[in-house]
This record gives sequence, C-alpha cells and structure tokens, in this order.
Amino acid sequence: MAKEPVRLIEDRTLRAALRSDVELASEEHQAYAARYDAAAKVAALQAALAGTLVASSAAAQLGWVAKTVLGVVGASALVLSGAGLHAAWQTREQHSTARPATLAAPTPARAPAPPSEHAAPVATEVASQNVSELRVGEPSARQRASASEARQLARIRALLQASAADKALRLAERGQRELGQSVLWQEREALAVLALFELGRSDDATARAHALLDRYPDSPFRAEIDQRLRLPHED
Amino acid sequence: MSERKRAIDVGQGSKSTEHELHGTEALFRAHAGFVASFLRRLGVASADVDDLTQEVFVVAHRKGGFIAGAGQPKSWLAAIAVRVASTYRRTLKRRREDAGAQPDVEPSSNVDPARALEARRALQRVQQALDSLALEERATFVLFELEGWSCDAIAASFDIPVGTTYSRLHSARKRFAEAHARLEREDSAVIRLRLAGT
Repeated sequence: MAKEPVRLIEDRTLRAALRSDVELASEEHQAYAARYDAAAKVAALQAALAGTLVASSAAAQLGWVAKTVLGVVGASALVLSGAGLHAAWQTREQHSTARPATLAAPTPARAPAPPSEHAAPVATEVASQNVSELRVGEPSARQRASASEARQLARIRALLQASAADKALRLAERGQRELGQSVLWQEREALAVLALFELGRSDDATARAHALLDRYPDSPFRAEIDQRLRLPHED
Repeated sequence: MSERKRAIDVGQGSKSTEHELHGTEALFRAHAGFVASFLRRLGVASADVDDLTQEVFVVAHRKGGFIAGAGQPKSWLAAIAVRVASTYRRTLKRRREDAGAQPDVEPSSNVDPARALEARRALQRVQQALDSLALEERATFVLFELEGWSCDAIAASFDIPVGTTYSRLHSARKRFAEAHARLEREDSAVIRLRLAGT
C-alpha cells in the first residue's frame, strides 16, 4: 500500500513561501466555512426545494418529448411551463422577502439562482427522475406554509435590525404559538431571545437562551447568543 | 454503489416526504459552510457561491438525500459540488463574463494594512495557482491540502482507486508549485519596479 503523502505545509523540502501561502489559504478556507451563515439561507433552500417539486410535477405531465427538450434547454424552459411559472413566482416572491434577513451574516442571503445555464443539470435531473410520487399542479399546502413562515422570519429579522425589538418579539411569539415545532422554530426562537435581550428582559432572555442552546448546542446563533449572555444585564 | 444506481434505488424506494425535506435542510445546516468554501476554491466567484451551494443541496435532495452508511455526507456532497462546479465553469467560459476577473478570496482578518495586503496577495497566488489545475486535480488538491482529507477519503468520495488519487495529487502539486513559483517571481518583479520608481 502506498504511503500517504506529506502535506505541503509540513514538507520542509519545499520553499517556505509556498508553505506559508498554502497554510494561510488553509486557515482562510476553514474560517470561511465556519462563518458561513447557513441558517440565514435555509429559507432560500426551502423555496428552491419547493420549486423543484412543482417543476418536477410539470415535467411528469409534459411527457417524454418535453423531458428531452427540458434536458436540452434547461431550467428556463421549466419556468416557462405553466406549473414551473407558478413555482418560479413563488420562489422569487419568497426570497424577495427573505433577503433582508441577516444578523451578522458574512455575506447577504441571496435569492435562489434565477433560471440559468448552470442550472441545467438540476433541470435535467428533475426531468429524468421518477416523479410519479410527486404532487402535481398547484403548490402544496406545506409549500405555501413554508413560504409564509420564511416571510414571517424575514419580517422578524428586519424589525430587529430596525431596532423595533418589541414588534419583533411579538411577531416571533405569535409564530411560536401558531406554528409550533416547525422547520424554522430554532431561528424564530433565537430571534425572540435576541429581541428579549434588546428589550432589556435579561432574565427571560437568559432562560430561553439556555433552553435553546441545550436543545441546539451547535446552533448557528450560538456565538451571538453567548456574546449577549456575557454582557452585563441591564434590568 | 455508483451515484446513478444509488439515485435510481432511492427514487424507486422512497417518497418525497417532509422527512426528506427536513433531512436536506439538516444536511444544509451542517455542511453548507464546507460546500460553500469548497466551491469557492474550485473557482466559483463569491457572487455565485450562495446560488451554487444551494444548487448542490437541491441536487442532493433530488437524489433522495444522503443515506447514512453510504460513506460520509461531506464526501457525497463534495462529489456533487465538483459536478456542479464543472457545469458552472463551462458556462462561465462560454459567457466570458468573468474573463480576467481576479479571484475574490479575502483574508479573514485585517489588522495591519501592509500585512493584510501581503495576506491578500498570498491568497490570490494560491487561488491563481489553483486556476492552473484541471478540475479533478484541483478538487483533490483542495481536499487534501486545505481540508486535510486522507487520500482514501478522497478516493471514496469520487469513487476512484486510491492510486488515481495519489496520481492526481502528485500532478496537482507539481503544477501548483510551478504556477506558484511563477506568480511569486512576478510579484517580486512588480515590487522591484515599484521600488525603482520611488
């Protein structure tokens, strides 16, 4: 069996400049991954997944000829088809409201890719999948609910960023009451905790922060909440 | 099991349920950072990283999601990311929109402007040297040198013999070192010219 090669940064026979550049790149590479705010982009993913479900259904209805065409012309054709158009509208609409939603995100949450050439493989996959079990036609109730939930989350974030913590908290609490253990429960609860801190309700905030972090120790909000927990209480 | 066979099996044996959606979302939360960082090193422009990261997970979802026991999720996602990046690069080449664009990799912290500039240039040298590699070599190099994966793990990810991984890595390192040395010489020449001009 061949021996595992020595990594460049550990190979003393190489130029020091090469090793130090690669070491710096490795550190930067890891740091980028660590600070990537996946939570802020979950809503965009949900919309994209909902869109592909509906688009898949359209492809199934169009039949083999249409599938072949779709495979060639890519996602843009899907969007131009009836149900695809509906899906695209839903996706755009969802992201236009989800976008402002970053609390210390390294890069702004971006809208899902518009139909483009590089989206073609997805369209091809969509067209070639077994779609018999997918829902046909209109977006499902769950897809509509996901879009609505994402919009609400974006609104809460926007209120927090606009220093309207009281309104943000009310909306988050309403979401927790009405939606319960939904997909974005963790994000909503984290924003509620941050709103409580903003309002100076440190006891409530601390209790809910600990409960949240106990339940989600790897929460993407952990650093921010930990930071707030360390600050002196104002009430 | 090949990717295609696995996808077919998954497609026939599962339903697109809420469980799958949640599975993809959990996968996204856990590994989106890795995928985004990997895509960037594969040459995806920063402005496109979010879209392409999302696309990787959409493809993953369409394949039925990750199945525990079929290797590591990161390995599976890395293989999908390479294919998504490959399509992206072909598209980019056709459009020529980014022709001549500098790699937009930034150092994570800027303390002293001179050192930050030096760090930025170092990162650009690495990215430009990576640009000289074929995609398969580049992916192997990034996973081994920057991610710290073993050659066995890389081989498993791309469903290739470990000997092929060694070969790709050897070739990638040779090309990378040559390109890096050339870029370093160019940087030195620029610095000398600037000093001479002052």
